[in-house]
Amino acid sequence: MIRLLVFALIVVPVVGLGFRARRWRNADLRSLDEWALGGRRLGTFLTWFLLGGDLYTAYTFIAVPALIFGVGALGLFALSYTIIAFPVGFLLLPPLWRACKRAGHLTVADFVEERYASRFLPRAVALTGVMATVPYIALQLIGLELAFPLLGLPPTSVFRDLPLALAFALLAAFTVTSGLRAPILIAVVKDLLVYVLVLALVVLVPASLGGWGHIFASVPRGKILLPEGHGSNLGPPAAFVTLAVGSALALFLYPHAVTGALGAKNDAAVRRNMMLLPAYSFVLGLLLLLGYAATVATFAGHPEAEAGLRAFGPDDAVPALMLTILPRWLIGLGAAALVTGALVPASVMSIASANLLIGSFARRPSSDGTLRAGRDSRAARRAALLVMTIALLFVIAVPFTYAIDFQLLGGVWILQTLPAVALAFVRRRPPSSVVFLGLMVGLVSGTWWVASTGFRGVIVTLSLGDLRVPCYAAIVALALNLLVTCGGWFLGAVAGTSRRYSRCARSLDEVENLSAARSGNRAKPSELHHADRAAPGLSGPLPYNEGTESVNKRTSGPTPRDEIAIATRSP
Amino acid sequence: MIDKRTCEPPPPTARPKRPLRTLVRVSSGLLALLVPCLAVLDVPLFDRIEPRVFGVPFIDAYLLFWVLALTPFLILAARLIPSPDES
Repeated sequence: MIRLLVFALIVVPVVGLGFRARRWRNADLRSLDEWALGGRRLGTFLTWFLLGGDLYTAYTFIAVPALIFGVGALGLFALSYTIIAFPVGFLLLPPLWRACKRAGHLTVADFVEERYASRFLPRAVALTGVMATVPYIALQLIGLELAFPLLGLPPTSVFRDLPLALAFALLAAFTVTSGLRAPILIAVVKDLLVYVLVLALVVLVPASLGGWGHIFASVPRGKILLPEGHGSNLGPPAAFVTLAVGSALALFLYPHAVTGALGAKNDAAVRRNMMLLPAYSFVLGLLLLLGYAATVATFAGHPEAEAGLRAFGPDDAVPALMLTILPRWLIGLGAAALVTGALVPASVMSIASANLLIGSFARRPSSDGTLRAGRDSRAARRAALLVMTIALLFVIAVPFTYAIDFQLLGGVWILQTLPAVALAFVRRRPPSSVVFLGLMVGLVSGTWWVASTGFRGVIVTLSLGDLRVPCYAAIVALALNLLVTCGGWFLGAVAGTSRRYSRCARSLDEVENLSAARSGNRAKPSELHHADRAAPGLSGPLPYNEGTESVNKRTSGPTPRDEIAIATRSP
Repeated sequence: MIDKRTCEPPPPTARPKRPLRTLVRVSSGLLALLVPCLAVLDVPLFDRIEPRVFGVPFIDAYLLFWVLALTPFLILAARLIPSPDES
């Protein structure tokens, strides 16, 4: 009873805060900029809470410790990935923020549309973003599902689905009402709750299990270390590296990460956040250690923990540990932290997906050239609701063994937009058709590989001769994507150059023929030079174009430029 | 450029930019960003249990160390790589 009371005392005001957030910093929420990006007025502090709340999700509390609990050290890739992700974000996000601010873009797809001057490529990028976000929202809903058994609700189907439906309805309601303002404010509370919970777990868990030394002495060696590859098989280390690199490159391509960054008031705030966000990664690291603790803990004699593990499998490792070790009131606080920790990112993700859909498919300029803000905002709210509903269906329909596979599947898709976004910063970029083709190849191949495992994992084994390389499917698909993009770009450039060369050569031939035919009428270059110098009213040498133009106007017969124009016009 | 009316060289202006110096700074900044990335991808370097740190195996302690060490590296990179406003 006490845990339910603590939970209600925290969650009810938090949800109320979500609804009240619409009045925070008075603004017209009919404007898409205000509803979707909080008016782009967030300083370093609030951006830190928003990005932290948005990037450190149920993935952090549930999925990664579950992977450590179930598989072992392979789950440590999540730490490596967050270490690689911030240098990537440091380089990518500030210029993206500046470009989007300058042109008033809401999403990466708008940016791609501006740079490639194409309509189908940004739409493909937008759809990929939405597609990748849906499994990520699904992961948050799994986080919500796992929180309710902490309150004493049995993990049977009715008690799993009913609270999930209630939480889903609340999520949808405050997201639609308040836009990005709701997750911004809730993120502050969520982070405080998470810090309290992690601190309590890091102190109480080793205290009750005999200290970290004892815990790690009891964990099998095979779970602490990455098993080495044998013979021609590179083994788990290769999977570890590709998972870390793939996830790091994908992180700041996710629409919700971009939305969090674009809400900042300037690029300096984004940059500072890249330096401050590793503080969250440290919390993630501490939570990872709890995965090992769950391996050692004895759940016998704790029927709720046992029932949870039976119902949810390894994903229930941290909640089971909380049920076994924490006092009742702290379990209530933990459940509240899990619920808010899932609501905040799910809300930002659905807003970001709605922005993508509206920006690429529904936004239309009005007669005076401005966007129809009110209509956009209404459409965006409906789109956010649609995305959340699809995510709910996704949880029910797709059978992953580990919740983390939802996030990794999203990573397979979103990583394929990397060439489109990265090359958009380059001055001489490939044609949009080539980038689009690469994106399609990446998406189809990545999905095919994941589907070939029966949607039960994202690691594929590549056979390169005798060598066997276990790889994150996203990286292999990205390699194919880049091959097609760069290959198409190169071939297109070669073909374009040879076409231009032959057209130019043909023109020159025709000019020569024409010149030969009119040799009597045309002034020779040497004559032109003398005429230039002798022209009245000109005291000194003129720039070449100006001088020759003026002289050519005075000389009889067509100029060389006229001849080229005639030659290119002739059939 | 010499002024045609006075036939005098122009007055000394601000010191010309040093592209080489900027290049070195930016390269050093990029290196500061690259070091943590490479450090956590060299699996054979840290895939071991001993020495333990406060009872935690080396592999976990090593990665946790780099999480903490990342911020100083990013601050260093921010000092070395100027933002467009600064440049």
